[in-house]
Amino acid sequence: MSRPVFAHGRLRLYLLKLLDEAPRHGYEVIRLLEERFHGLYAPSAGTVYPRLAKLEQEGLVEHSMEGGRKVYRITPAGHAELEARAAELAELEAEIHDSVSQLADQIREDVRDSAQDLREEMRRAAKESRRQTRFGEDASWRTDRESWQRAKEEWREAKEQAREQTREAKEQARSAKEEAREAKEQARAVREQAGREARRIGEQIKAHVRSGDWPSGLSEGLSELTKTLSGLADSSRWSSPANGGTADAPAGAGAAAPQDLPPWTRVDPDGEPLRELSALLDRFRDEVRDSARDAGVNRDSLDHARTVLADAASRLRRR
Amino acid sequence: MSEKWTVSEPQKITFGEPVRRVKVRTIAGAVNVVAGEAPARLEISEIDGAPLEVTVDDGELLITYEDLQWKDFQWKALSRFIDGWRQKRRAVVSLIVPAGVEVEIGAASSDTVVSGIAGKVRTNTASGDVTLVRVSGPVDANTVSGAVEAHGTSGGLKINTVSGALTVFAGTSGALKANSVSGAMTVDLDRPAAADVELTNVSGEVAVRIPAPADTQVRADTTSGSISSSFDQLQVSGTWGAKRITGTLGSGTSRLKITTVSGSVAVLRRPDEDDNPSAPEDSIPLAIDHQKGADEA
Repeated sequence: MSRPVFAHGRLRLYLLKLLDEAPRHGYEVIRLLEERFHGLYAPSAGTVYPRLAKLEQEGLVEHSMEGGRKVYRITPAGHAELEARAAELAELEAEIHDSVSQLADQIREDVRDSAQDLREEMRRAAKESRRQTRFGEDASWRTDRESWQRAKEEWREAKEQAREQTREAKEQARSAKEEAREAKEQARAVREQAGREARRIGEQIKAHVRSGDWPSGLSEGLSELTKTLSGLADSSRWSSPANGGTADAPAGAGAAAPQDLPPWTRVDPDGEPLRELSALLDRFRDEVRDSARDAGVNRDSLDHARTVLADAASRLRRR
Repeated sequence: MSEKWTVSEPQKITFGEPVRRVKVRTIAGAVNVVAGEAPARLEISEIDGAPLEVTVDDGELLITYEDLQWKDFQWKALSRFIDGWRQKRRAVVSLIVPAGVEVEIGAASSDTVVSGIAGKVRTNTASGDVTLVRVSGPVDANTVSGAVEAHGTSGGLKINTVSGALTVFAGTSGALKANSVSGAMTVDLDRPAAADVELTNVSGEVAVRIPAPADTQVRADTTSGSISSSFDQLQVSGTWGAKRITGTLGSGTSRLKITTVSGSVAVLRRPDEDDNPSAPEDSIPLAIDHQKGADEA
């Protein structure tokens, strides 16, 4: 690549020349450079100011404050330097007007330098901003640690929440199971009691039938059954079947232990309660029907049975 | 009228007829196009390998190798043709043309400088850097690994790079739209209500600096990159994973949109400065009342 116009301190030389013409402030120097290059080259402030400062360090220029701005002027030493390099300056000026490619190189170098400076400055600013706006005053590794910490915290919370939910769900499942077990228990107790009552009543009816008093036996049996079933349908019995069942049950029924019941009242304790109940009712029906077939049924007893059974059903439905 | 030159050694040509459009196609070396007073001048200061052909036809100046077409500089063809010719041909081509011309440059590894042009500028390069200085026309620049540096441009910029870095500074008043895969993007806006800026990057970092008080609607998203903002008015959300900066500065006349996948994003406040940030010890205001200063001088 061709040699830049201002390589090897030639921009420095040209700055001296500009200040030799007249004292100028920094901006004016930049503007004049631009002008001398017919607008083709606009050196950045980042190129010019440090060089002016360096010239001042070397004692070739000095500055004074005028209206709040630094105005640079050449010193005798600077003037001497310029005179000593007059030939070089003439060559430079010729080149400036002559070579576009060198000019372009200069532009490129200048822009590249300024861009580089800007990138570094903004990278620093970004780093600073990341530190200040997000995570306090420490270095960037801390940023990582803090966000990691935060992530861990969030994760822990999420885990806690999940665990809580699991615990609740388990709790619910357990209590649901408990309820189901209790319900089953109650259902079984009721079933057994119903079975006992039905059996007892069945026995009574049979006794009446045997003694030839079928209608009174049937009506008596059914009313007895109604009473007992309505007692069973009492909601208090459902909630505490163990106590209520025995306390309110007729003495005979309460005394009757399960093993004393006739075979048709037997139920499977592990079976599905609803199915067991319907099986029990089937067996009860068979029992009553068999007895009725043996002894015959008249209209009155049938009506009575209707009323009683409907009533019993509605009571059983009511919890 | 058509004129033609074949240039095989360093040469300067001054064109008699006006030039309205410039097309340059080279492989290695440099291409410089600077605005200046008519007549248009060409300087080929270095040349190795095959001769360059220079043609002026009806206001269009074409500088190219005999066998090179503009289509060779399109995205898909670019990598294919570089390998073959890169080593064999090298030229430094410089042009002074009237500011208003349209410029189209295709270069493989040549560095490109375009300065002061007010017409449309289009450059396609592979590894060559592109430097745009005080270009006021609309720019469409594409590079593979070459960096793009835009200084003091005032037209719209449309820039695509694969891994080349992008630096835009000293102001842009036209819209800026840039895409990159991994090239870092540094944008320094120096006007409060600069035009819309849209930057998209995959893994390259993006830093945008806005002067305060600003007048911009900001929206920045990154999927996994880090994010930071030095404006209190902007909200930074998302603690891990995807993050976002949103908010409106001032009345939100212009829009700033940044999207990256893994590149970090920074929206920064421009330091209050009348002087040059690189030389903070110097308190000279750069842009205030220079007329008065000149009078004093």
